[in-house]
Amino acid sequence: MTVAVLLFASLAESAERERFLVELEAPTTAGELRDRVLSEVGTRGIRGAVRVAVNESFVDDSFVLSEGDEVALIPPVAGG
Amino acid sequence: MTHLVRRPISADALLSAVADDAQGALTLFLGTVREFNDGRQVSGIDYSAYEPMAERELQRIVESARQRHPGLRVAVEHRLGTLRVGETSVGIATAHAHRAPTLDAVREIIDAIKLDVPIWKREHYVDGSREWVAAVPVPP
Repeated sequence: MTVAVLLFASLAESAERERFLVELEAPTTAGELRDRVLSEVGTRGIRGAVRVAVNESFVDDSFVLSEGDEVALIPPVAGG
Repeated sequence: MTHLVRRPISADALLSAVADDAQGALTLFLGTVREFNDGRQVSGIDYSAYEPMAERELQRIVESARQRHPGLRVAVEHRLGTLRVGETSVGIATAHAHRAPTLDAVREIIDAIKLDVPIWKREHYVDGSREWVAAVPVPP
């Protein structure tokens, strides 16, 4: 199955891209995909946990991904 | 209502959005870009967001405040783009027949924004450097 991965802020900068497609074997969880991407991209400059959102909602690490999901890796937020 | 804006935030417009003759209390919170952060002199901040999700989270936070405080009126705007020192990055206006819900809700809303809304900021310093900023955890 194919899912889209979105990166933001320092993660997008480190990876030098904001969006890419990744081919996965089912079942893959949100946490597994995050760990895989972070091991490639690195977490330089990130203090705190990187959360995962699927189709614009936060999910637990154990959430099982489906074909076509939009998976966003959310580094610590700093709004306000 | 769109909560993410790319123009200056108007305190008057936020207050007007929640005011009417049934309300006995109005509370306004403005978050602004401060000149010094961790001892470094800031010249400006770039705010960026995962925009569709940030809109949804802001709407969820507003609806949650309305449910906790029946009768509460709320207006929230967060600005994106490049802001200079002194400019307003976030504005929250609440109105209610009585003061307590307006004060409580403003605190709850700004704390929730800092926790859950996918917005990031990169500070620019007067020495020309730039850095992504991590949020300070909400104090107890």
